[in-house]
Order: sequence, then C-alpha cells, then structure tokens
Amino acid sequence: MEAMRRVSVKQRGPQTIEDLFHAEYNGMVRLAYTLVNNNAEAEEIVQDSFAEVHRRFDELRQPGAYLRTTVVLRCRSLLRRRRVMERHAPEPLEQLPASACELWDVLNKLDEDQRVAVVLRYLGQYRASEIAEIMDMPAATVRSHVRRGLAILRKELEQ
Amino acid sequence: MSRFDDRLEQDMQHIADTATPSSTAWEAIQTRIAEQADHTELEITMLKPNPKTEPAVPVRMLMAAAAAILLVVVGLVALLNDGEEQSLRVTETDTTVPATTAAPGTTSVPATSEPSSASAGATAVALAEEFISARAAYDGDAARALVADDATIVQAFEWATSPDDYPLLSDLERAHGMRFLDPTCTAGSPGRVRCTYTLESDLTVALGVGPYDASFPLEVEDGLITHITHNRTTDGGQVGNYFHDVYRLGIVPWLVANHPEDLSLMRGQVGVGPPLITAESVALWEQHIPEFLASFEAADLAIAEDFITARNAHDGEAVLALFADDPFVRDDLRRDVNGEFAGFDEIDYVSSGEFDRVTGVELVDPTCEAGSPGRVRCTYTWANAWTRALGDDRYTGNSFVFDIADGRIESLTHTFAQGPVDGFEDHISEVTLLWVQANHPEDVPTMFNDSSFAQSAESLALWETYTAEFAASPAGN
Repeated sequence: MEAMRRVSVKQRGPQTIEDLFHAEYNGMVRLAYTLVNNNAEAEEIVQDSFAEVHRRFDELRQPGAYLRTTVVLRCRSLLRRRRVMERHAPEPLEQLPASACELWDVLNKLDEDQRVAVVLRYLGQYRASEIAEIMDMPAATVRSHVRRGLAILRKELEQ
Repeated sequence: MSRFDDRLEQDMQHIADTATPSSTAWEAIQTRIAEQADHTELEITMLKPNPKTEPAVPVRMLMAAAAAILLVVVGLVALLNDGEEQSLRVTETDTTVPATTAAPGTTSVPATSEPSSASAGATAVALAEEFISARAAYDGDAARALVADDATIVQAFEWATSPDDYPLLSDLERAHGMRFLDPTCTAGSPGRVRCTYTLESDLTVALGVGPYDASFPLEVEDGLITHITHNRTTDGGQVGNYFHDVYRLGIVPWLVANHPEDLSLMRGQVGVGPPLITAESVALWEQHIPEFLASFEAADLAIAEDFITARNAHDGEAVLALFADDPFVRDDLRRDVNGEFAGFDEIDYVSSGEFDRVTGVELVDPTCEAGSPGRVRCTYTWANAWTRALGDDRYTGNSFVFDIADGRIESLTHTFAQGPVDGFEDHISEVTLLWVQANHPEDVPTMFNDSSFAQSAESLALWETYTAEFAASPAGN
C-alpha cells in the first residue's frame, strides 16, 4: 500500500510537505538508519532534511529527489565526523539474523562512498544514474564504488 | 540477480527493518519548521533600526528587506497550515524575557505590539521559565503540573511519552546529573515559546564533551504547555552530538560490555533510541550511571598518579604527554619575580624535570582521591636531596587538583601549603645559596638567576655535583 502511494506521489509530485512525509519518511529513516547505524540519529537527519525541504519547497521541481540527496549528504557528513572521532561503536543489533549481523559489521568496514553506493543500490533499489545524482558524482564512479564495495562484501561474507 | 545479490538485499532489508521511525515524527518535523519560522521572525525583529543611530536610507532598506522576508514567511506559513490552523503571525512581538540566570549579553528585543499580545507572550514565557526551573530542580511533579493532560510530547527528543512521565523523567535527569544552565525563554508567534539553555551533565563532564546548546520549543495554551519537544542533540548545526558523544561513544559501549542484558530495558527494542521512561529503566540508569562514572574515577585517578610518577621519575616528556592541548595551569611554584603565575606554555617541564633530577626532588606519600566527575585531588610532601640531608620535613600538605577529561589533564592547580615565597623558595634558596656562596662562590652566578635557580646545562651540572657534595658534607648531616 505504501509502495503504491509512493508511486502515485512520484507520478504527480507531492503537493505538500505532508504528502512528501507520508510517501518518504519511513523509507528515508530506513535508509539513513542503514547508513549511520543509529535510529535516533537517523530520525534527526531525516527530520532536519524535511525541514530543509520545506524551506525550499516552492522552488523545488523534485522535492523527493532533493530530500534523498539531503538525507544522504547529512548521513555522509555524520559518517565523516565519526571517522574523525575514530571511536564509533555501532549499536548492538541482537534481534537481527546472524547473516544480517555479519553484513552490518562488514558494511561498517567499507569506506564511506562504497557504503553509501551499496546501500542505495541494494536497499534503495536505485539505478547507478540515480545514485550518481544523489551522490553528486559520475555514474561510472558510482559503478566503481559499488563494484569495489561488493568485492569486499563478497570476500568477507563468503569466507 | 545472483544468490549473493539476493542475500545482500534480504539482509539489508533486515537491517533497515530494525529502524523504528517514531510515531510522532510529523509533529517533530512541524516543530522544526515552526522553529525556522520563529527564527526568521526574530531576525526580522532584530532588523528594526535604532532611529537614534541609523541613517535614513539604510533604515528604509532594512525595512524593505524585512517586509520582503515577511512576505516569504507568510507564504510558507500559509502553505504549512493549509488555511485551517491559525497562521503564524509575523507581526508578533518578540518579548524576550531573560530567565533569572540568563547569560549576560543575551539579545533582548523590546516589545512594540499590542499590550494584550505582549502580556500573553510574557505569561507564556513565565510558564516556560517555570517549567525549565522545575526541570533544573528535578521536580517532576512541578513540571507535570505545567503540562496539559493531552499535550503532544515528541518522545524522540524529550524522552517522555506522556505528561505523567515527568516525575520519572526528572528522576532520570537527576541520575544523569543533567544541568540546565543559563536558560533564556523567548516568546515567538502566539503561544509559542523557545527556551534555550546550555546543557551539561555528569556524563558530559566525565567524558569531556559538551557543553551543548540546547532548547525547548514549547507551545502554551490556556496557561498550560500543550506541545513539547527538546533539542538536546544539535550543536553548531551538527546532528546528534549529544547523543553521539554521551551514548554511542560513552555509556552505551560500556553497558554493552558490562550490562548487555539491561540495555533493552534502558533504551528499548534493540537497545537504541532515547532512554525509556519506565520505573525499571530509571532504576537501571540510577544504578549504572554511578558505576560508569566510577570507572572514569579509576581512570582519572590513574592519570593523576601517572603525573606524580612522572614527576618523581623526573621525566618532563612523560609529564607533558598527560596534558590536553592548551590546558590551564596555575602552579604556586611557577611564578615570576612579580608573583605572576606562568602559563602552561611558559613552563619548561623537561628542563625543570632535569633540575628536579639533579637535586633529588621527590613528591613523597602522594594520596589521591576523586571528587566531582573528572576532578582528582592529590596531596603530597615535597622533599629533595637538600631537605633530606637537613632532616627538614616541613613541606607537607601540598596539593595538586586535576581536572581530567578524555584521559588528559585539562586543568592543574598546584598549591604549595607553606606558600611559595615565605615557606619554600626563600628557605631553600637561602640554604642552598648560603652553602654555594660559602663553598663555591664563583659558581653562584651560574647556578642562580634573578628569580630562582638557573636551569642551563652548565647550571644543572653544577647542581648535580654540589647536591651530592652537600648531602655528604657535615652541613648536610
């Protein structure tokens, strides 16, 4: 149902920030959560992003795309800040299946670009051209990040 | 798609499924949007020129700019409220009323609009101040009494889920040693108040992070607070500093290592999100925070003891390594001829360590104890080869007070019990000076400078030789 509503909104474009919220909020929190490993921070990022979209809503032709880019940018900013602090401890995920726990650990080992590209590809189901737009880099670079990220994941997960 | 791709997709969905979007997210977003509007209003109000000081043309330009921003804000607000709710009125007076402990220099804009509106704003501000005072006093019942029964509380930020949670929330905040410093409440659009304050807690102090800029955007109606959110998570535009520093980098890894079974009871679900406001959760926080802080005490005590060990090893490099960048130092024995304290950068710990070595300085019987979070006090007796030779043990009761954060000394105060001049330097200087004058007068200019003992290489070599000579001489025995 939510997927249908999302398609519908995408076709017409959200008329209000509330439409956009209903269409995108949960998906954006899931995406941000998978990138930053933390629910409270994921929600912070997404809510701040919605506030930013609201500020520019009238001038945006594709608020949904702008929202996704903003969320990913903010996630990347947080990941960079964590890297600087070099002490981030991912939160425990006792309820996950073992294979997902393993994936979680290995995702944390990928560099930021690889991680974002792989998550957008496999969780967000975005095409390379869409990821390129979100990450503000050429599609070929995105493919390279996905390929390298996958190689690491495959090596670590299939050991 | 390969099996590997399938697995990735499936496991990634599992991970994403553990995200728990809050049920009050829409209210939280609306609050943030409203805050943006409130901030814009404040900026507009601040653009009002002072007719006594501003020239005429800039005034008109500023007013035109303000009018343009007003139009934008009106448009945004109309879009937000879709014509159903009362629009945010950008003509609302800003009735900033600093709370009793407000920081000096807080922007305060005089009221200029209708008296009734100003009065309502002042009442709302007074209510908000009362609320934040109750929070600061950990008086949950008083805070509860100020909140409407059907108030909307944005749990992800305020931690409470209902007004009746406030007594427990206050207990939780007491357990954290949460401090609401320099609160200032400002009326925004009708019924809206924003209280800003500086947040620190026993946890932030122990971890050496913060303090943080925090705020309560509140809505007030009929004398009660009807909407509460709480931004304790942003600082300089960065997302989640408080949560990140205190929880992810601080107490959560410690809980995972020491009490993993309690984490889901304290933070819910898979151990993420704000602290739960249940009696069981609060009791666990009350139990574990002191344990966590005690673990810091042990680490802090170890740093203080390392300092004394390094001093007794006369290892200036090791002493320096214990300090944070740009620490505060106030040392009774590091003053110039005018009695002014030397700053950290002016103290040469390596040279003075070498001087201590050649004169046999020892900090005897050090005893350290932890005080408030991050603070350690050590007392000791000072001795060197000369005092030992003389049997002079008068230099007791001296102390170091350390403020330690993140494993480094951020502040050090050294108090010499007998006083630096009357009790120590004059006495030691006199003993040593008289002896050197009597036995090696030609070396006095090398060994002493205007204010104290010279620490040149040549001087140090002489001090090493003559300290041994003094200790072995009849004068020293």
